[in-house]
Amino acid sequence: MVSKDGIFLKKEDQALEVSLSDKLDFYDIVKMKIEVLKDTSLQICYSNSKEIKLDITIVVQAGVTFRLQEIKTAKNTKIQTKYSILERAKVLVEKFYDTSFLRELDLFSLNGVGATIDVRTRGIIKDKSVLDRVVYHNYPRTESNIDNRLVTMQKGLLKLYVTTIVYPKIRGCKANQNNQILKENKENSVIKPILLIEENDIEASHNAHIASIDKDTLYYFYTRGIDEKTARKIYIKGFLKGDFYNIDKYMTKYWR
Amino acid sequence: MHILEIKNLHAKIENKEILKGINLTIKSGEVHVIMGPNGVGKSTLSHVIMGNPNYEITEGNILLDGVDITHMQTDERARRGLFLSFQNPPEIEGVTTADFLKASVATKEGESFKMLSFAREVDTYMKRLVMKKEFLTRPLNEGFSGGEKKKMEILSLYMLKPNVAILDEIDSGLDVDSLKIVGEHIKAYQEEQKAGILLITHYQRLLSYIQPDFVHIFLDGSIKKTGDATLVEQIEQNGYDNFKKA
Ligand SMILES: Nc1ncnc2c1ncn2[C@@H]1O[C@H](COP(=O)(O)OP(=O)(O)O)[C@@H](O)[C@H]1O
Ligand SMILES: [Mg+2]
Repeated sequence: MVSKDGIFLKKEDQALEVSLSDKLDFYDIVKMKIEVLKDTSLQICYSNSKEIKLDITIVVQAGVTFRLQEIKTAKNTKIQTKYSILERAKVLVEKFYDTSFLRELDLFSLNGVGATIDVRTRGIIKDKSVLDRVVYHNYPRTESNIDNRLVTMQKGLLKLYVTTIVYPKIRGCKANQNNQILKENKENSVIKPILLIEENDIEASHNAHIASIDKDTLYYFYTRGIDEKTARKIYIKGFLKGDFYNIDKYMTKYWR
Repeated sequence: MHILEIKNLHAKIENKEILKGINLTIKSGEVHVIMGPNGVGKSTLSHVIMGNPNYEITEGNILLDGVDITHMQTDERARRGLFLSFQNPPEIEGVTTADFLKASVATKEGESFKMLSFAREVDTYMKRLVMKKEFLTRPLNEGFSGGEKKKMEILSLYMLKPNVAILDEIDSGLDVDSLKIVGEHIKAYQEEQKAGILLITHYQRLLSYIQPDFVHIFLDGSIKKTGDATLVEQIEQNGYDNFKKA
C-alpha cells in the first residue's frame, strides 16, 4: 500500500514498481511513476477533500496485461497521466467519477506492435470539468477503444476532448471512440472527437452524442407507477452500467 | 368494486382537438372494447386517461373510484390502480427488463416488497406466458419482436395487478401463437383479479379469446355507438361506414 496526501494505491501483487516524489515541486505537483512488469491490476482512489495535482507516468512492459481502476470522488483534482504501452501489452483503464472541478489529461502512447488500450469512463460530473484523452498509435496493428459515458448534473459542464492520432505507414490499426453525455441539467457540455488519421489501412469508428432523457421514455416509467426521481435514477444507472467491472459496487457505495 | 368514469372528455394536442366529448364508465369485472379505424383518437384517449403530459384536457373529468384524477400525475394514477399497455412500447437502452419490473413492483409495494417473492412471481408468470428467462437480463424491449414486447406488457399487467387496465392494440404485430397466449392471459388476468378491462383494437380476432360486455364504436374523436358483442360482427361485415352516417 502506497499512501500520500489522500492518494492510496492498493497493490495486488509484486508486479508493480511504484515511486512517488517526496518533495513537491515548484507547482505543488506530485510526481508518480508506475512500472508494470507482470500481469496485474491496480486500483487508485482519489477521495481527498483538498486539491490534488498529480503527474503520473505509467509504463506497461511488453506482453503484459494490466487493468487500472480509478475511483475519483475528490473534488478539484488535476491529473495528467502518460501511458507508454509496449509491444503486445494490453491495458484496460476504467474510471469512475462522482465529482466536480475535474481536470484530466491522459496521453496514451501505443509504443509497440500489437499494443492495445481500452478506456472506459463512467460517472457523474457536478461542476465545470475538462477531460482530455489523446491516443497515439505509434506502431502498426495497435488498437484503441475509448468509451466515455458521463452524466452532467447540477452545475456540471463538461468539456470532453478525445483525440486519436494515426501517422502515415502505421498500418492495420483499430481506433474506436464512443462518447456520450447524458444531460440532467441545462449546461452546454461539449464533446470534441478528433480523428487525425493519415493512413488508409485502418478500422476506425466514432460516435458523439449529447442528450437528455427522452420524455416519452420517462412517461413509460410513470405509467408503471414509478415516480420521476426513481425513473431518472434507474435510467442513469442503466446508462452508466455496461462493460465496467464491479460498477454495481461503486454505484451502491457512492450513489445510495 | 372499482370504477373508472370518463365524463365529457375533450382533449387536444398541438392545438388540434382530438377527443371531442367522451363518456365512458368501466367497472370491475367488465370487458369493454373500443373499435375504430386508424387515426380517430383511440390511443389519444388511452394516453389522456393515463395523464400523458403531451395532451391538454380542455373539458370534462376523469374519476377513479370517485376521486377526480383529471389533473393527477401519471405515476400517481398508476399507483392508484390504473394501467396502460402501449401500442408501441419504447425500447430503453441500458435498463434491463428485470430492473424495470422490480422498480415498478417495489414502488407499488413499498416497505413490504420482498425480492424473493418478486423473483418467484416473475418466474411463474414468464413460464405462463412462454417467455424465455433471458428476457430479464436484456435491455427493456430492445430488439424484442412485436410479440415479445406485447408479452412483456402482459407480464407487467400480471405483476402490477391494476384494477382497471387499458390495453392499446395489444393484438397488433402478433403471430397466431402469441395472439393466443396474449388473449388467453388477458382473460385469465381479468377473471383472477376481477379487473375492469378496456381493449382497443381493430380486429375481431382477439375477441375470440376474451368476450366483451360492451363494444364502443369510436369515430372522429367520440364514441358513436355502444352495444354488445354483436356489433363486432356488423363491423366485420360492413366496416365503419354505417356508423359514420349515424
Ligand atoms: N404528437 C402528436 N402531434 C400531433 N398530432 C398527433 C400527435 N399524436 C397523435 N396525433 C394525431 O391525433 C390523431 C389521433 O391519433 P391516435 O390517437 O394515435 O389515433 P388511433 O390510435 O385511433 O389510430 C391523429 O390524427 C394523429 O395524427
Ligand atoms: Mg392507436
